[in-house]
Amino acid sequence: MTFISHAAPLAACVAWAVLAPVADARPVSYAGGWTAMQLNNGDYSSLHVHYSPTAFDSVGLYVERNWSDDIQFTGLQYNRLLKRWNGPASQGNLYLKLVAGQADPFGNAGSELAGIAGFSADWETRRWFTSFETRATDFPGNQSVSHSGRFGVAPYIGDYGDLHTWLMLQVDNQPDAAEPVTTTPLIRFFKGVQMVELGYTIETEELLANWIIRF
Amino acid sequence: MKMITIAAAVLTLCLLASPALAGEEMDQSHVDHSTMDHSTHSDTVRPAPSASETTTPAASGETVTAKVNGLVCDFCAQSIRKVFGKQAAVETVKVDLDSGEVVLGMKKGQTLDDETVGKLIRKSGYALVGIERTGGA
Repeated sequence: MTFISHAAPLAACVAWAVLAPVADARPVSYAGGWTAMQLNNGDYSSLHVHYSPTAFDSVGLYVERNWSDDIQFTGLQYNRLLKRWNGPASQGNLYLKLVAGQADPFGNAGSELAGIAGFSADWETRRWFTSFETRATDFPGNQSVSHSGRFGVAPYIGDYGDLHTWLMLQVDNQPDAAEPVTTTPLIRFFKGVQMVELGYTIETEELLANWIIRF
Repeated sequence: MKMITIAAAVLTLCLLASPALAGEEMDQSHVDHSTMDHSTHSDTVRPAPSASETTTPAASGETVTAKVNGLVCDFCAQSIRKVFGKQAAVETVKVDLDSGEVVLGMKKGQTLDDETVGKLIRKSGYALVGIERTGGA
């Protein structure tokens, strides 16, 4: 584990997250709520199922199959809502995410301890959405930091229970990747407790498909 | 695939430039909500998703209306519904995202005091602005 070596870049990311106008994937639910979220992009597919004992914390299982790093990761994830700003017609959030677990490299190599740390922040109204997330991974033989930002607009505003639609643009920065900066236009459908996102990353010609369900 | 990107960008620009949307945005920021007629966007005009989301406050009980900051999406509304739905004194829960109001229909002869309502709102992660009570005499 070499998280200490990431202290400086993480501190910079925290500062960036606080300063930037940003938004999130809401890793914390209401007290007593369960959430399942699955993310799929060109680099990895992940499943995170978590339980929120309070409206400010959640803990759960995180599984990721990472083709970029040739890793199968399984771990325990803790999410903390560090700060929320509630406005008359807006909401902003700052989250901390910590994951510790075991990474199994593809092939014959043995499993090793590994971890992921992330900060995400968001700000949204019923019309506008913006978010930022930074993620540091400590996988066997590969430590990296990546960043992701989003901007979105809702073409119409529906009532509670209606189908909500968002048009978004996601920009990712992975300094170590062959394509360090990628852009992904995507569309988000949101109805009740279910959310689905579909997108396409232009530079790498890869699909993005995410979904979230709350119980 | 670049066509998809271009089409999405054009669609976004068209929607942003729409006068109707611009007007809607202006209306939301300038209209005094206390004078608004809610009959046009009442949840009662569409099917209620579940029994616990019954949108018509109880006829015989007190109605507690809490003005809340931070309600911007259906996940927020769901959180409020779940938290107040567990309260024995609460008959119905309605969340109006347009006005940022949580309307609680109380069971006859029962109520939640202001302190409890505020505590539950904050416990849900939102900010209470004010409380109004009607009926229930």
